[in-house]
Order: sequence, then C-alpha cells, then structure tokens
Amino acid sequence: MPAVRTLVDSSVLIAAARAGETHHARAVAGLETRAAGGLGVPVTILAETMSFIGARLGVDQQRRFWDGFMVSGIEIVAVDADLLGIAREIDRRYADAGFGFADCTLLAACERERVSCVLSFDARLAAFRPSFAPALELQP
Amino acid sequence: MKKTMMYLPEEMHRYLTREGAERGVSMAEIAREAIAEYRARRAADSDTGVSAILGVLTDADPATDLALRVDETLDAYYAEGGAWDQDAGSAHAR
Repeated sequence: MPAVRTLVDSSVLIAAARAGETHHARAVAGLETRAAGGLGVPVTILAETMSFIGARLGVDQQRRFWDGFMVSGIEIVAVDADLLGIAREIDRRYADAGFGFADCTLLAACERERVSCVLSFDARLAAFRPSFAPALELQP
Repeated sequence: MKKTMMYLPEEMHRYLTREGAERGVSMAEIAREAIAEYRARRAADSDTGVSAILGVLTDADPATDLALRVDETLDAYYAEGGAWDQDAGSAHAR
C-alpha cells in the first residue's frame, strides 16, 4: 500500500459510484489519476458516505458500495484522539466556514499526514490553509 | 446518463424481458446492475483497485446531484420528523 498522497471526500466517492451524477466523469478521472499515488479516506468520511447511501438509496446499494470499497485499495485513515483534537482546533479556527465534523476530520488528516491534495466537490474546503503548504489543492 | 443501443442474442433478450417483468424493473436497470457487478468482480479478480467503486451504485433515483447534497440529505434524514425519526431510530434505510 503506497503512502496516502491524496484524501478523498464523500462527494467524490458518491459521484464516482453513481453513473448518473453530473460530476461522475470528473470524479472517476480524479480517482483514477491519483490512485497510483495512494488514496486515503478518513473513517469519518467513509461513515458519512455509507450513512448517506443507506439513508438515500437503501441498504442494498450501501452493501454494493461496501463490497466495492473493500477491494478498492483506498486506505482508511484512522481517526484517533490526536486527530480529533486537530479537527476541533480547525473547527474553532474556521468556525464561520461551514465545515462540519467530518470535514474537520478530513482537514485534520490533511494536516497530520501532510497531504495537500483533496478530491472533493465541496468548494468550502478551499478556505482551509494547511500549515505545511500555501493552499489546499482541491480536485478534480 | 448516456443512452446507448446494443444487440443481444434472442435468448438473452427473452431472459431480460422475463426477469424485468418478474422483478418489476426495466431491462436497463438489470443491465446496469450486471455491469456494476462485472466491474466489481473484475476489479477484485485483477486487483485493479479503485475501479471497484466506479459506477457500483445502480439505484433508480433520477437525481443527478446527490454527491453535492450529502450534508443536507443527512440533515433531513436525521431531523425531527425525518425518516430516521419516523422510524423510531431504527436502522431502517429506504
């Protein structure tokens, strides 16, 4: 498993998994382009994605995604107490940015793993300024 | 979604027609399911990785922007009076 160099948000996971999504092709291209470099998903984002699919599309679709994810090679980034602390600090610093809990853990993972590239369709994340890079690179 | 046309052997066409009628779904839906399963199986067999999740969701929901509405969908689901609330907090999923 290569080191994680790109983190993936739920918006891109869902767009890639649903062929009918407006941004499906962009999401697929983003994942395929960066897969070899190492993709990661914080477990909180995976939980958000699974909850969304279950709530909106049903448990059968949730299981389809589950099966696919397990063989996708996307690394699951653990969210421990240390990362939760970083996330809470981001939440405090960007209180007006509209980040939710899962977003903050994603950004905290960027900070801790020194990953500056995020695959997401959530433009709000661009407000985040990592400590180790001039800006977050939001793709695709 | 893209519209496409394909030629099928008569027996395969009959099977799809019968299967669709029994399940109350369209032939296109069955084809999408089959392709998604094929794709996931190929990815698992060849360890090609990320392709295992590409197009794997075969729901009939016509919405094309669900990926952009994750937060609001979950907010509505868990809101008072939302699907979660109405289901008395069980793990029911539509």
